[in-house]
Amino acid sequence: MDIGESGYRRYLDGDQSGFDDVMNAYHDNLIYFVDDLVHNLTVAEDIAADSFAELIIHPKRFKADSSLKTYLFSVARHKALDYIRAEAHHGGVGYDETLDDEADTTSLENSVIHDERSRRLHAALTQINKEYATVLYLMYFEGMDVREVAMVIKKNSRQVTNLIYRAKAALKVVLEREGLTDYDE
Amino acid sequence: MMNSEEFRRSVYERAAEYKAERQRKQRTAVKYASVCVCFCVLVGIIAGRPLIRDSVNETLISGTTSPSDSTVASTVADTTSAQTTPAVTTDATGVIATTDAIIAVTTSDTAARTTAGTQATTTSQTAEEHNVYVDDSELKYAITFYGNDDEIAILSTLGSVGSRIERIAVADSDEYMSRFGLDVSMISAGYDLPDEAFFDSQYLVFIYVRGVQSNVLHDELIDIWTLTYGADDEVNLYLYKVPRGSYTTFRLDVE
Repeated sequence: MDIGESGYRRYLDGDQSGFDDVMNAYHDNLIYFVDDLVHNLTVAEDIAADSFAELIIHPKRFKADSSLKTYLFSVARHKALDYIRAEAHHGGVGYDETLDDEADTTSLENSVIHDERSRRLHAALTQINKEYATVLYLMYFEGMDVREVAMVIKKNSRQVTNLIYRAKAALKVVLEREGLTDYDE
Repeated sequence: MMNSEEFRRSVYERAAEYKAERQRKQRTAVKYASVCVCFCVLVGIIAGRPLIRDSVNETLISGTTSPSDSTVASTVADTTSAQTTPAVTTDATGVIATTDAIIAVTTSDTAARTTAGTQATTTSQTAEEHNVYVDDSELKYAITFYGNDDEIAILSTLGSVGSRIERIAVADSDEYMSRFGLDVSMISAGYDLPDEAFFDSQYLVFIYVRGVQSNVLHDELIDIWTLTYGADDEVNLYLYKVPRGSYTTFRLDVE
């Protein structure tokens, strides 16, 4: 149980400060994850805040069969997809065309990704299929296993395994094109 | 981009806002549900009124007693005996000793009851309740009336009057002839029509029955006339005087 989840347990037991620990633990990673999906930092912050609020409003929806981080990322991903669908439906600016605040994004990236190699790997993820990128991001940057990734993207483990295989193949092509050859399989 | 403190405050504000919105929606849902329940209850009450009235009538019937034969009331609900033909015997004064089936048989004859009720309504304008007990097969009739200064009620409608009872009329004043369309020529010259003083304490009930009279079963029977009414068929007119402010049950035995 990580610090975020233990904080949430304390919050559920009546300790209000426990929720601050939850936000401290997941705040940056969650926003960065959502930003990868919506490509708009302000929207990503909104979605992340809504996701945290969801933990307060519906505490019983979080079941013990997954980690809090998995549940939180799952909620955030759904909200992000809802946003993207709504934007597409209303003819809003497509997420590929939105501009992030680059300084903020870089700052956020620095807090989530600590080494240059990971940063270049993350940059390569932006060039492959969105779903592939999400799967690989969750695995290699958020440290989730196949089962947890499956819970976040609402697919079964077998589908996630196949996705990872294809994602790695796609990423390999990009990395080779970029001249990065020191990656692990 | 918000700093951590702003983000934290934003989360709590959103949560409070969503909770309030959720409670508002729940209250609205409860409100709508209450309105729906009230509406359904109202519709149910309106739709159920005829059934309730029938039920009340059944209760009245059950409570009906005969001054001369208490078995009438006690056997109202006896549908078992209704399926059998009763042995009707009369005493020296012509009173039927067994009337069980008179009421019981007719309780199930809803269609005929409606017919009887219609007839009573059209001819008895002051009657609020109009009930006639009839056994069509045996042609026994038991009718309970109640009257007071303000109203005359014929209680406990049951049974198959069928085509036997042509008409029921109740008169509570000397204007009854015009009110109920009675033709004085129908009434035999042997009976003096009552004056207004008569109606201070009593009223008259006229029952027109097709068929030959046999036994007359009530002390308050004033007279029976055989007359021609409507078509050329022979009709007996039973004329009763009924005290005001009391329940009075009388029966007819017509063959």
